Amino acid sequence: MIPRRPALIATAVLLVILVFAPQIAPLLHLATSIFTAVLLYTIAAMAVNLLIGYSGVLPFGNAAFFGLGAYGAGLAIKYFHVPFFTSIAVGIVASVIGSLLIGPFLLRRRGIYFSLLMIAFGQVFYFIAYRFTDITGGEDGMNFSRPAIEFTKLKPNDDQLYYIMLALFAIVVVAFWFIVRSPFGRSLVAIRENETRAKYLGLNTDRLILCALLISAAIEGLAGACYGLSIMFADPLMLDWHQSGNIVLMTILGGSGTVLGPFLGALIFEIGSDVLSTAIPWWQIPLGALFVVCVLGFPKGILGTFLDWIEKRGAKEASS
Amino acid sequence: MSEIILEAKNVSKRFGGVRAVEDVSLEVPRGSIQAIIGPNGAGKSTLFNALSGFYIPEEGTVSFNGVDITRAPGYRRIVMGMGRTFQTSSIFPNLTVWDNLLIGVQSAEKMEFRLRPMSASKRAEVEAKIERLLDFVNLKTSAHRPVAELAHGSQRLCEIAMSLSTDPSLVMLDEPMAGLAHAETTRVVEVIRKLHSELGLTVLFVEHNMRVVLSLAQQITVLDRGKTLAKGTPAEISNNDAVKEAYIGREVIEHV
Repeated sequence: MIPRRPALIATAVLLVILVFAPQIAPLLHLATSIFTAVLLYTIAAMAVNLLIGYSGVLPFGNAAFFGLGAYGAGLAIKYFHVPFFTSIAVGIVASVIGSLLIGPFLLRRRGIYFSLLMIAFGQVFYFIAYRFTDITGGEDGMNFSRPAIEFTKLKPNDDQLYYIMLALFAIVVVAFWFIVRSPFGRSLVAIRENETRAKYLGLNTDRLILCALLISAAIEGLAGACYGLSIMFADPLMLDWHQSGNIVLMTILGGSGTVLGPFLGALIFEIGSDVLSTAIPWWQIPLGALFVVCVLGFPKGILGTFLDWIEKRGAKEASS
Repeated sequence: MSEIILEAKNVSKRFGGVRAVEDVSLEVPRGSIQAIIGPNGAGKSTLFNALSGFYIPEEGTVSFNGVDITRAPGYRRIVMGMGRTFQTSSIFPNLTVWDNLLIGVQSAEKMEFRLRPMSASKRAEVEAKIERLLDFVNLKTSAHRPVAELAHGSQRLCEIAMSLSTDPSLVMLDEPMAGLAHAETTRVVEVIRKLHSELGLTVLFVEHNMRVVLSLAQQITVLDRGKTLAKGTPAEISNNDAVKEAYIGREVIEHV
């Protein structure tokens, strides 16, 4: 068993930071929008984590879902003037439709070929956004306004937006916690551990992975739609495989296979790149070095390594 | 319910130019315990994998309870009532014995897609079943250890319990004694005997260890170079000249 106290203290600190982020941010000379971005990238990384950490498939190309969410919301606002939460719903639906289109093809392969196929499909969405300039604005991207919330005239400012996103974030964390502990979550872990055995326990592993992919796309579509709303902009780079790589890195950095690892990964990645990029022009080099150290030194990610350490300490205390 | 639970008719499977199994037929009567033997490269494992859906044969048919399953995917066969183990133990190494069994039990309960937690009564039912499985293979004391930490023989028993977790009527074991020390062999043989005598299951197994085969099996099919060489009871097989011929130089039969 994991000792309760360190986990409780960490959770309390985390909660305080999250609740007072708009007040803390100016003290650190950061914009509130950075914390919004951390929350939304955490949601995206959790979506990726469902696939990497729990199902054992590596979704390079996941940014397609992020970008579809952002474009879905943006296009719905720009051309149909839908309100706030409806635009998010449209983003989620766009992303899930995207996953339904590519999922059946992805499932024909596993391992590195799954990842490569997914990159290829992701780039298809990238080029669609890039080429259909009349609708999407092409390379320059697409500006749109932040619409009012349903049945009100309230257009959320950055601080209000932060708290809306915090509420959505909390819902996703709780939902994710339940999903990975459900019988379905256990089936996914079985696939990660040994797909052949999972099949020979009667599991339709293709369909299980497809379901995981749909759920992942819905969660990442939510993140993308909200991200679009926060910066009031969508561009093809949101669909690009560099973006996919960043989200995968956040997941692995924080700890794949843990519920809150992606939060640590997104926090370090977003704040790190923000602080470093204003300080030094070659900021990507130290960030890259950090990843190398993490992957080589802590293959279970920061949270995974920390949890292992606590567990070991707990076992020692129990035996002494 | 037909009397023949598993039937293979004229099954052939090639790998490139190599005919691994050629025109082999096999009938497994319900409630029997049968073995497939043969020298290395005889096609035992290929036949076994064709029966369990790991390979699809080019020719011939496989039927289970009278239903044609020649092209059915592996997981469907499990749902229909087959269970199998693999030559090298196929388990979930990082999970505990308990969780290894839980995954099979929840699959048998058709809960593998369920997003909500199990109800309390279902949970109690599932836990009772896992306890029974642990009891059956005598792994109760290791229930909450990761399977990777267990001795080889215990891993094998865990895999047999997993194959039982989906409530099969036919259990297929691919070289259950492979790589086991002598003492472990005795434990596993006892469990296999109980599959048949206590649970009344039909058992089909591939095995190299002749002592085990002759003591367990009621019927033996001998393969050699992909073809059926002989079929019969242990006594008939150990006195069969063609079988002795195929095994010459290995002196296995004479050793028994």
